[in-house]
Amino acid sequence: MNATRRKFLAGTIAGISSASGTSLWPRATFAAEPPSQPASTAIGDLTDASVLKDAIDAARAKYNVPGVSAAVYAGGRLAMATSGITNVATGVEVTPDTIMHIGSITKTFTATLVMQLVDEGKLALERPVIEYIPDFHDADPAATRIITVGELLNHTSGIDANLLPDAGHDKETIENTVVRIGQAPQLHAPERARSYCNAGMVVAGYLCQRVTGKSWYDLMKERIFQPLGLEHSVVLPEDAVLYRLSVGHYLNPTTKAPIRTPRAYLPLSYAPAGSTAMMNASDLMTWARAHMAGGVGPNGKRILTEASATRMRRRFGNVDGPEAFDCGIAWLRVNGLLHHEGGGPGIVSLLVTHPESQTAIVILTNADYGATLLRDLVRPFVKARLGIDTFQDPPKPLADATVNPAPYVGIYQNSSVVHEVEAKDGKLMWTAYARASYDRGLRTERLPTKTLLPIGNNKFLGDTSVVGFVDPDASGQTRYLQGDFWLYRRK
Amino acid sequence: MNDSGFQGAVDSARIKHGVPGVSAAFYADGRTNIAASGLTNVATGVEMTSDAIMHIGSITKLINATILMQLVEEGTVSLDRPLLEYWPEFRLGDPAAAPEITVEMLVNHTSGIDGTLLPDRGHDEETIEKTARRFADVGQVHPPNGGRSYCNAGTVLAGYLSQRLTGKSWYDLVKERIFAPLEMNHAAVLPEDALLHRASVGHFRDSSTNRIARSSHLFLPIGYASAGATAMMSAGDLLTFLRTHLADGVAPNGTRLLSAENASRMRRSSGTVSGTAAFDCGIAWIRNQAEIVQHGGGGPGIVSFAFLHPKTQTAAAVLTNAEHGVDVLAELINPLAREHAGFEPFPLPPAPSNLTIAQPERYAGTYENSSEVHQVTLRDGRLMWAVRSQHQFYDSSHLEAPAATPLVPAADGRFLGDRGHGLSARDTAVIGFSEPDASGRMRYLNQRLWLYRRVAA
Repeated sequence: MNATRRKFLAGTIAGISSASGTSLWPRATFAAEPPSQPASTAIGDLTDASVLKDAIDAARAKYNVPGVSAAVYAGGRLAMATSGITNVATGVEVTPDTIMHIGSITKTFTATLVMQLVDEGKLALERPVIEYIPDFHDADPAATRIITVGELLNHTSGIDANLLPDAGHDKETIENTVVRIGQAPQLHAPERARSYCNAGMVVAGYLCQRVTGKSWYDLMKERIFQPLGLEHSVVLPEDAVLYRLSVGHYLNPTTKAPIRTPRAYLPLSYAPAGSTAMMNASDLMTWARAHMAGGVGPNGKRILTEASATRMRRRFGNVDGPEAFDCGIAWLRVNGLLHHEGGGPGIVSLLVTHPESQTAIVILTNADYGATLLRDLVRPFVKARLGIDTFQDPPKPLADATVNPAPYVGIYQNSSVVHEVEAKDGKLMWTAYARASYDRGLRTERLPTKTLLPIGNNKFLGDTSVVGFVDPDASGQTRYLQGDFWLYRRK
Repeated sequence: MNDSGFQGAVDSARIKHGVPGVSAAFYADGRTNIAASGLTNVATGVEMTSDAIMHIGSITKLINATILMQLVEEGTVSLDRPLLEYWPEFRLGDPAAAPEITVEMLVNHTSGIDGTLLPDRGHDEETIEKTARRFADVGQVHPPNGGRSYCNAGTVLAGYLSQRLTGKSWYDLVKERIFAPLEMNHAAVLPEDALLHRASVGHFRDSSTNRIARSSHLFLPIGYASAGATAMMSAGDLLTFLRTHLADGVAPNGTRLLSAENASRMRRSSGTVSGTAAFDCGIAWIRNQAEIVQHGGGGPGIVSFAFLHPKTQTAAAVLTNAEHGVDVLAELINPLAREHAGFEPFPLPPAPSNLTIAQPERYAGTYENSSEVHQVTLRDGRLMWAVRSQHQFYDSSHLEAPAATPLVPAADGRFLGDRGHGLSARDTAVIGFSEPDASGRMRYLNQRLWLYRRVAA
């Protein structure tokens, strides 16, 4: 396997969701990011477009990211800037009207469609999905009966189909994939835990289709893009080509040069979870502002009731077990920030909002190694502007590295990754096997074994990744391994 | 013509006819010439380059038929067998027609299936398989082998047949059997692949303001991919494909794509038509005079053209991103074809004449296929003609010309009509009538590659 393909696999493993960022958030990551350098100390006022432009130019150059598009909104001021090129194979420049992948940030859109239908009385979050889709089927009949609409949107349904192998263009329809998702096992019982769940969001998109009789693609256009006046936003590849558009890139590990992705999207049928949506930073900022304003766009058009917009931001769901993160309706929650990351083949993106102060920042990159760039730009901005330092480095390993391996040793897995945790010479060793979908099949790639160094509280550092162990059973053995936004169940 | 001469010719034809972007390539006297000019998209201002991919439209039918012929060569399918033998669920609106339709009729435009285009059902519904099944509800323009009228439906079915027989998607077949062996690296058949490249989009010209606007849609309905909805490539890559046919199946890189016998069979006249043939055709190749084989392509705001002249080993491809690009095609193609084959594929319409039309009532009537309705009426002894589209496709509503205009006799016995597009003098409709019934009334009207069946007085 050549370097390009390997890197591609890694990108896919991180999945739709992971901004792989992760030194971005105080959580673990499985993406092999280089250790982040200390964030730039002096960062000017990013609400000044020329300062923002200088900042992204510098960050882009530092990390060799081909293209960046950014928007900042704070204190009633809006700034936008772009830098670099859309595609190293064509050399076409990124401009303010260039559309770029937003990846899983799309989940906030799909959830908004659902909430619009809740507003219209066509859906209720607490009702079982099967009430609206009588043929909805999950491999676990008990789960089929009880999974609710709301659980699709807050990552608690437990459906374990992070990403399915690409079945090819004509088979990759949302409807077909909901049938395939119906064969997936449960990672946990509904509401027993919270682990990032792409499958739930695909089912949510399909639910909108079933209730309205329109395709998810048309719903996005008619119910969101048009009313908010988002003129550089698309959800279909055949629409994307009409625009100046960006594609993803990987870093060639030998030459250290960015190379264009061999494919533009993760499997198309995961569109409601974020495989296809592309827009410019300005349109995404309009979206953020509509949510921060309680459902009203800057153009005065209301797309959601204030109650529903508020409800999306509040903690949602009663989880009686481990949670990999805190979540509202689609919005991820941390320290008063509502945010979402996006990933895809060779892209990372980030939207952070702080409704309380009406502050938001959008950064779209076309490199799978762009996470450190996001952190460099966002951390000082959020710290300086809001006094919130969420983007800390992982803690240092404890001085006393003695570990009792017994509670941790075992095999943990979900549909994407298998983790082997072994005790060897008094050390805890961790090996991940990524089951990645590539082209038309699944393949498994063994990632290098790492020593887990304790950082306290059942958490460990494996190189740059934080790995946690949660939910001990009566014997003290942990039921789940946690990495980034995901839980992995003990086999 | 040398490279710089060719570049100059492409630039000047593009500018003269107000077309945003052109990419062209020709092969003659053992040399390849490539030129690109203008923009890929007026909304973005991104420049056309020789590696930009552009729509080839129905030229795709040559690729589709080449894959089918590969399957013939491999013994997977026979051209003379009924389609039903390979796809027992094949159904058509006319139950009598389905069993009569052979594999060959799908690719030589003689099946008579009236499915030029069906309304776009949206992304997830627009699959080749679903489109093939939708023909169960369409009728016939003519009985199988009872005429020859350009037939997209047949080529969709041929693409679906290739999928069924191989168990692979048509998209994968094109990539694996054509693009990869020929090393066509600037070619795509899927929108999600197109966006990895510098890609051109179609444009329309508003005839009242002369403003050029980007097409609102990239493709015709994607379920028609094997008929030519989605394929895009550089003119250079298209020329590589054309040269492979010119060399009887051997690509410029030495790869054999097809046996010499099957490559030449594709160019020979195919089928025995008992009624009106709107044109002469081999397997997908449209046969012209002077031993030229050719194909044109259209789409939302694009026109393209390719031809081969095997005798002089000449081939050319011109791709434009404007609905009104036909004058660019003519200006670039005609001199090349004239120089090497002594023939112009884009002739001007025949001259009007003062001939008196005997028994004009023989022509009056409503003639239609699934895409257009032609109404021919007699008013004060003069024949009047009006045409309207059956479907509104995307931005094409301005093509409506509901007002009836006189049908003027031409010297060659056909008629001339003004389509009212204002696009080009070459856009004059040249209309023929054929197959009079016992009362002398015409059963068919033909225009360009299509037949329209008389449905009412």
